[in-house]
Amino acid sequence: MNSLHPRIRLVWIGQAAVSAAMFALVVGVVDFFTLEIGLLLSGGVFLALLVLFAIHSLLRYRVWRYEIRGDELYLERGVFTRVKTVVPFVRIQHVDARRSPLERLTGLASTVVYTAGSRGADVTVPGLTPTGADDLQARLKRLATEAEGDDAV
Amino acid sequence: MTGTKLHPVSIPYRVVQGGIGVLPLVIFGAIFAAPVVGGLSFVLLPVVIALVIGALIAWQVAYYRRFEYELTPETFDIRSGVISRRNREIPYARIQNIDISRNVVQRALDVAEVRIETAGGSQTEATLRYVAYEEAKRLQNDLRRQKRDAEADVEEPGAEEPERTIYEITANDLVVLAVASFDLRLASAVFVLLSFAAPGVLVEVVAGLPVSPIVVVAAALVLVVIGSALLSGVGAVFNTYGFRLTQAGDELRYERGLIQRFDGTIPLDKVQTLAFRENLLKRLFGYSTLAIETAGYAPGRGDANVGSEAAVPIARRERAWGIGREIEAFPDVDLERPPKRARYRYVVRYLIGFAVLGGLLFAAEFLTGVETYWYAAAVGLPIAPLAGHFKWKARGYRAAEGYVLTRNGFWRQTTRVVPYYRVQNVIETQTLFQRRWRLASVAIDTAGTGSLIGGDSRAVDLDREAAERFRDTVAERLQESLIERARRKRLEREARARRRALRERPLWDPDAAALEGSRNGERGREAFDWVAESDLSPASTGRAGRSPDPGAEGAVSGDPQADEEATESVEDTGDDEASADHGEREVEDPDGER
Repeated sequence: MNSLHPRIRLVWIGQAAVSAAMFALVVGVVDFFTLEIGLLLSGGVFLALLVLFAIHSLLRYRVWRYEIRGDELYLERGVFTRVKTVVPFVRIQHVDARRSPLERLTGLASTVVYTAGSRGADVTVPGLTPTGADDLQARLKRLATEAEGDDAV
Repeated sequence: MTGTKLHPVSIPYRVVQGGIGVLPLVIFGAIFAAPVVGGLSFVLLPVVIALVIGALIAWQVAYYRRFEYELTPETFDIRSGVISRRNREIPYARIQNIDISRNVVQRALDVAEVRIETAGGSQTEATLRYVAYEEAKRLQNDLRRQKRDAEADVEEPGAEEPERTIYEITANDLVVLAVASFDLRLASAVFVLLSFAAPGVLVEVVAGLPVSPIVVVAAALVLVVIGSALLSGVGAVFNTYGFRLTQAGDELRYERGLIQRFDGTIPLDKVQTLAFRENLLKRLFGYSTLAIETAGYAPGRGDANVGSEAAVPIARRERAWGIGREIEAFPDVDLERPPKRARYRYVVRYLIGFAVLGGLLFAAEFLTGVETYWYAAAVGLPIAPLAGHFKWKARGYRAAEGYVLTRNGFWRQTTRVVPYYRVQNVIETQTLFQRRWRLASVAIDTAGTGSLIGGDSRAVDLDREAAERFRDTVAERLQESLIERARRKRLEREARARRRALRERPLWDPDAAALEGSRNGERGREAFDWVAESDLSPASTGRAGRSPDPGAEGAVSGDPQADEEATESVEDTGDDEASADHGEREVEDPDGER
């Protein structure tokens, strides 16, 4: 079982900071027009949320696992609801390597696997090094091509 | 051009149709413009209307003249468009469904609308508005035959398969359906609407009556329930009146509708899931509904039965399940129930629900002083264990021979049957609460459409270890059944090649051809769209034995000359999307860099 690159925590905490800031902004605006408590409230909200989200990110990192098995890609994730997904190579439609701005900043990348399923249609493996993501993409691509495909659907 | 035109009646019909849409706007515009243009508008209005009608007629005549369709040897071609022209070529092998619908007016004029659906497309690939009903039926037949010839590479192209009736709705069934299709959700929707519509007026009326408001509310409730029962019953009868399901070759066809008639097809080789829907009423009467989900598209979408089409709207349970077994030969097995502690979990959950309700009502009474009868929530004490028990009893799952079965729902019970080779991925989930009870759920994902509307194949609240085993079993069986299918297909292809070789080249040694076929077949077929064309070609030679000359095998997809060859190579890639490279308008990016 592989865990993600430790630096993914930075990406997630970065994302957490952005959403916490958004929340704080909304609270700040509402406060400005109604309660008039001042910046202390927004700042407090921001800090509280940031801490909560950061803890969530750390737990998330500890739970996240993936593995390339004989016939399938296996993923384990989720802090509150634990989700374990089995994606058979035969079902892979295509594989993307992707880098968001935050990921580029931290020198990370993700791989997205698409299937024709209607529920788990796309599965993302985050927290890879750029070469790691390319490798995973190439490897999955090869495995998917080798797998005896009947119908993709 | 030797194409066929639409039915001439479609010109006046479409003009009237367009007029109904446009003329109110024109008249509206004229009324608003009246103050500006003054008295002139009385003169102008008829002129404008005449102009609009003239334009409509001219447009529809041009549309009619420009619209042509044609059945070519490999594709169904449609040339259309007044200003921007569009030529569309649909390979027969890609066609999934051919649906015909007729409303009252169209039935009187004896014309029909034909819709052609392809796999993977989210919208209708082609629509013919309107052709004669006879012509529509002929098209449905011809397209199906062409599709079969293109796909199956049959021995005698053009042979008509006999159509046999599988199911026909009786008056008795229709009555049962009308009663059983009663849905409490409709009643609650009506009720919510009522309470929003005129609360003030209602409250006044209720207060003015000489009886207790409780009685009035109860009476209203009963009325709403009766009303919505009537409504859903009438709707069901209108939708399914005269339902008939027939099978011709590898395709099911249905006809239904009292006022608007629908004729549709369900391709059997695209079936993803069978769903047996049995709500409480149906179970009490011993009836069942069979719905079929096909990939990427559910026929008859857009009307009341969203999601998947009912192949058997209502029938005795044994009958519906029997028809289901004819379509997919799944074994008759008992389902496994979730462990007993799942039942405790439901009981506890319901008790908590009732306690919260009682608490809220008590708080409301405490705060407002209005009598809320909060202690009535104690009724939950006997109800919760019962509800929990039935909820638990309704659930089931089983990884059976060839198929995986799941069942859920007490009020609206659905049993879903998925062949292993249709499984897309398997997802095991465990919420925080489930972890406390050592339970987990497993969802089985297919490419069917019903899943989008909340109808998933789910085994809920299994023992944690059982869930893990179930998940792995389904994934393993998927691999096994795929290998088995590939083997069977290869054998079929070899047998076909041998027969053809015997037929076409009596002097050539058929055993050598069979040998060649098996060797090539083992190389497998690449089903993925990033595979470059050059990589694909050698794999497509799985149809070996066709020609002893290896040079002739080079002619693969993309070659306009390749008639049977091309359609075969499409079949060999096994992917619906892969056939897009064969003269289709949307050519997929072969690198898959999307």
